[in-house]
Amino acid sequence: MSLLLNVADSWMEESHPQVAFECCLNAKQRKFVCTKCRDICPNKVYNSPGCAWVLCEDCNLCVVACPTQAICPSSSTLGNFLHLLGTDKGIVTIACDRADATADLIVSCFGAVPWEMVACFALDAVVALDTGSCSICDRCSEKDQLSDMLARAARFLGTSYFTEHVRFDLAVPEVTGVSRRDALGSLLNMFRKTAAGLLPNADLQKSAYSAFYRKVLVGRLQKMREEGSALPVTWETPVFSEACTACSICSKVCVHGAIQVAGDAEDETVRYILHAGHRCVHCGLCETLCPTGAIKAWTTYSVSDVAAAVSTRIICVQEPEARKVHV
Amino acid sequence: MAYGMIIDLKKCVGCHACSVQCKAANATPPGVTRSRVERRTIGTYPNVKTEIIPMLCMQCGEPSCVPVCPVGATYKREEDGIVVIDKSMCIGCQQCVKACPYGARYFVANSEGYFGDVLAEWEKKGYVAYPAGTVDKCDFCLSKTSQGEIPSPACVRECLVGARIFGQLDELQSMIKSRSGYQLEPFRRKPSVYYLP
Repeated sequence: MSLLLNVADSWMEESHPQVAFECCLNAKQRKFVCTKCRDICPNKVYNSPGCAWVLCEDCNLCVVACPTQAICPSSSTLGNFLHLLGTDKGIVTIACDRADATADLIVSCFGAVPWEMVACFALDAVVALDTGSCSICDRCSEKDQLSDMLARAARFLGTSYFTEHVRFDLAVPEVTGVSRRDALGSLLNMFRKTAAGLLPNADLQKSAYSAFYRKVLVGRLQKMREEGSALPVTWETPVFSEACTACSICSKVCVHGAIQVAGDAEDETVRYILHAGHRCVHCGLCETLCPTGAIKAWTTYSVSDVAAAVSTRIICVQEPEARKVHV
Repeated sequence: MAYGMIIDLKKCVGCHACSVQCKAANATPPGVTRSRVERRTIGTYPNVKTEIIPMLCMQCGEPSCVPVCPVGATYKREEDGIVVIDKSMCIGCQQCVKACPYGARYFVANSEGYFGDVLAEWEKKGYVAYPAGTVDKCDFCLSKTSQGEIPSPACVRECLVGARIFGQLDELQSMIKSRSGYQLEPFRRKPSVYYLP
């Protein structure tokens, strides 16, 4: 009986996303309650405290909706993605399962496609998105999700590169490449092999599978840079205004360690805030929790080195001592 | 409902038994003195007097430490009015330490004990509740109380002269009024600890 339960357990884990609770916004702070995953889930998986995975359809919507990317896609979703990434194809077609087309990657909804995935494919192939059925479908609650995703991918890759490599007008070919069934067959082996090759080792240690698509994308860009074909990319970065006191609260709350505060060797009043765009998933936690409200606006910066960080120079003013009772 | 405390300054002799018992009961690391006794001299010679004021967290009605916490790790419990810290959420930014007018909050910088890196048996057991890089404060011995029970603070239990009275604030009000008790209230934070002159 226990053996049966074990088998059922491992099978269940393969077919649903997993939550890295240490990265969840609700575990990090108590100022507000984030309900993004609960709101978007069509089957109300997240409504019960322990997550009712029995109801999960593995649609991947929650993975994309999570602001901190704390939800790791299921291994079958990952397997399909990584398998397709490993194959050397000139064109990658993505379609939604409502359309009758055959495509390399069938997704449950375009709201479940992270922009990192599109960018990943676009690095060495042309991505064809069959978004025809989106106009007649009401599945993903927020219609803007697709346009948001495309806008972020376009900003990241640069508009000219994006228009060259991501297309919507291509008719999806009838039968091409691997079918979903084939991909599933060789899934586990491919997943293990490709994941090991693609992920930077340092990132594998803690909360390994949060922000998974981002790590794959960054790993791939770093590899491209080593091979000498670096692509200039654009990351987002917060603007630290004059109100910033370099109290380093943002660096302490950042889920993915994107912000670091460094002192100056010569001048004690000068500090530097380093923001690593490749780690930042734009969850807005620093923006919300900043006690002085110093982060208001976001801007972009282009780099050829993926892991380059932006440095902001802050001059700290000594705070006056607060009044105390006695002594 | 809120818990409160009365400290009878007429009875208090400043023996520090409350500080010692607090240390013993909660096994607080060096630098953390949840309960302490302050002394100050008032007046000029020859009319000089030493005032002894035992201090602890006042469990304010409107705490100044709660709104400044960037992650909301510290909060006032609705059921008993005790201000507590969620240590798993605390990031150790020390904003609350700066904000507290009573100096009742302490930052645990490292996990060192009184004898350096090597911890004694008692320290090993007790310091689990004080992870390095978090802030600690008095919680009326709530952490030593099991669910549903009325807390029994060590300082109240062990006061040699019985100068401390702990209970529900509503029930203590009559005694406070009859003996004209006062709060240490320079900042209008509505503390729950009253002093009887």
